[in-house]
Amino acid sequence: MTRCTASLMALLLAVTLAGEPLRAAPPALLPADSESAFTGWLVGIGISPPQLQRQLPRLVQRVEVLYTDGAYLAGAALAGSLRRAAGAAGLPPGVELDNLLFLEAGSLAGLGALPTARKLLLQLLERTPPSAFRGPALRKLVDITLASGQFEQGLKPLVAMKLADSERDELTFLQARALLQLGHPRQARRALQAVRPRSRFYAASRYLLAVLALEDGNQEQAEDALCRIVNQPGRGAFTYMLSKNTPELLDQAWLALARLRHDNGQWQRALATYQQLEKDSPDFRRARYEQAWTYFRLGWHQRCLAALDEADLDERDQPGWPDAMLLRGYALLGLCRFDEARQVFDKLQSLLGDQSGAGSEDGDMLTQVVVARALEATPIQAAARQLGRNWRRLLQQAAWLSARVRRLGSGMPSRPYFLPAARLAAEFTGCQARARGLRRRLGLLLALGDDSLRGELRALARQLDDVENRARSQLDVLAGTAWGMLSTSDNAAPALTPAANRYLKREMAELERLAAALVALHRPLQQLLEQVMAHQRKRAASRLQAWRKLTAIGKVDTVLGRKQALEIEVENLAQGRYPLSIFSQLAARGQIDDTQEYWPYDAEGWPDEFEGY
Amino acid sequence: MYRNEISLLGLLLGLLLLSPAAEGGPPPAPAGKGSAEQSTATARLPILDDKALARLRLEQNRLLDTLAAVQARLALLEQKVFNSRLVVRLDVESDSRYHLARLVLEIDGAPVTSRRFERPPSIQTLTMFDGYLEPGPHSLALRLWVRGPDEPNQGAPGYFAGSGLLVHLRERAGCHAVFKVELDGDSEAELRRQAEPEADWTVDITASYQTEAKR
Repeated sequence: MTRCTASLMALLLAVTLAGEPLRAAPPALLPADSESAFTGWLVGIGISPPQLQRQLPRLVQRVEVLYTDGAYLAGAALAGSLRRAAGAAGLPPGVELDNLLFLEAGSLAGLGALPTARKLLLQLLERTPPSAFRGPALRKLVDITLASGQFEQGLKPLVAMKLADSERDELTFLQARALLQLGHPRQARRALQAVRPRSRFYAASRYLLAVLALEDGNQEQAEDALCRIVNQPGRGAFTYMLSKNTPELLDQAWLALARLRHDNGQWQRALATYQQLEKDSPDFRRARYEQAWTYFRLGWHQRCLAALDEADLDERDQPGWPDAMLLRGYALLGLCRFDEARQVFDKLQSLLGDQSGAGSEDGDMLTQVVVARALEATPIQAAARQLGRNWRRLLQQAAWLSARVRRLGSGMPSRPYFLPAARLAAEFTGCQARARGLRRRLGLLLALGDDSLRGELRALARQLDDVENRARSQLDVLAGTAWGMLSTSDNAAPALTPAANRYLKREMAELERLAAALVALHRPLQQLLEQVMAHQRKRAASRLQAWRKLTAIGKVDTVLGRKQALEIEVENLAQGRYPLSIFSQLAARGQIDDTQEYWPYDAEGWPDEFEGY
Repeated sequence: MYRNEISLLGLLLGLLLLSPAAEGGPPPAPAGKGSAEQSTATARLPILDDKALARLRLEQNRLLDTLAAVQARLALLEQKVFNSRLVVRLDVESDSRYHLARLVLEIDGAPVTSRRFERPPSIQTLTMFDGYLEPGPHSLALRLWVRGPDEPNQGAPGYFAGSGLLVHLRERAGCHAVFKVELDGDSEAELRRQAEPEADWTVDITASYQTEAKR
């Protein structure tokens, strides 16, 4: 065992420190080896079937609690060990075992261990006579396939299976999504149209049909499809089967309808449609922001500002805040509040920098930090980041399991855990967190728009970037080397039976294969993440250019507007129409007779209004 | 400025077709106004390699599968040999509008439970771990991210707290560890009145464990 670990350590060190990719393809992971060794041990210890049968309901309940509480790793472990024990005891299939299989599949899916999850669900689906969990298993399999986008693995066995009429809709929707992913919209449309109202995917299928109709430029058809989702008889009644995604779908459908109406110039209808989104909806802020746009197009600038206040997107570190600030500036321009508009544009310009700053030595780093936050991550970006997080979690969990196997095989299972470099790892994690916190505070300082601080803030942000990058790379190195450091002296006499020790040796070999595969995954994952970051930077740069341009135009408009206002004022003065302030002073001196007027008209301040009563 | 306004077609489609539209639900909302310019600009950007992403995701799924199998086998071995059970629970009490946004539980340095709450969780008690480990000392570390009343659901949660506990498992005995969390802080109205650094948020985490008598 020690020899193997030493070789693993060398491998990990070589790859993580030198940064060289592992040339060989990841070795095939064949759990059969350790699984069969484990089964050999399990059969040897002899599990009493009646005892296990008695305990099963209580144990399944424990798995269910873990599954519903989202403790997927513990749930999958408990369910997996129970399934193996039941197999060794030769328990006949029944509702409880089926429930256990379903819960294990759900936990594994939550964990991301999809191959076994699919296998277990298919096992339930293929059972004759049909299992009581057939329906839930089918729905779970469809959900897993949709979420992972692995249509080939999920769809193939289902197509070959004989499904009842009530189950066809699940397959139809899945096929439609697969066709969409493969770029066959016409066939996908046919499949989507075949989804019936009693299917849980009815609303989602209408939404996708609306999207496809828009792609073809058929707005009427799109509106019709969206109306099928939102128009309901009322009083809690629906014309289709509800699913857990219905509230989200309803919000999205209302938003899409409102946008369609806005695009068609149906302003009043668009306003009423935006109003359908409730305050607790996750899309509420977005809806109010878009509603502000509709008000702006109607020329109702005061209401536009009120809607922007409600959206609360600007100055809040929210995606899209520069757009919200721009709209606020233009609404203020519309109200002839030139000074306030100028303040908004000045602030935006100080946050975004000007054209002259672009391409400077530090690549306008601070601006990029600000702008990158204003852009929502694309689904691919989010998925790639999730992969990166999962990789580190996998490595930590594999190291933990490895330590457990070693402790069990050492004859001293109760000895304290040796957690190599744990303190260092905690400190680096703390450094990362502190750097992120400080970056956030820098963002707030930037929002003050003080130009004198800008240079210093830029330098600080550069330092923080450096700290965070170094901490991240050190954590990666630690994650790899800590594994190898666990291998210290495991020479104590084993306390377990020979069969258990045989299994543990096989398991160690399995874990080492897992570690090698993880290391091999590191380099392509890093490349993908770098690609994602570069993409985000380019997106940010592109948007930044557009925002800067619009800000500059806004500033010019404030100057022009102010000039125009001044011209009108001078013209009025020349024609004897005085502003109220001058009029009051002249009137006090008795130089104004009753026939003269002042400009602009202000009924509330008109003295006669009060004197007349 | 008007150029920057809505062009629904492009935005709906771009986002919908790019999105995996996971969990059988709808694709994410189309981007907001002012995206016409954005979509034109984005069209010039290099396309991310989604095939590489799919390959990596598939490989990671396989590795997670192997890991889960090892975990299940080890758990059964440990149960049959030592029968030392560990249950870790979280009790949350919150009278204010501060709510849990994310939690991570680590056992012996490895994350075993990680949960994110898109909306305020309706439950107050969570079982974070229930399984069998080898007897002896085990370290538990809990990290919590909390969202305040002034924070939107989309952004990163603004409040963080953590706690740790060392438990000793005994052979043929169960150990029940509980992290009791009490959250309190200024209301939204109070936060508006005050300057942000003066806002008051308190979290009390009490961690304890109890070992059952030997079976």
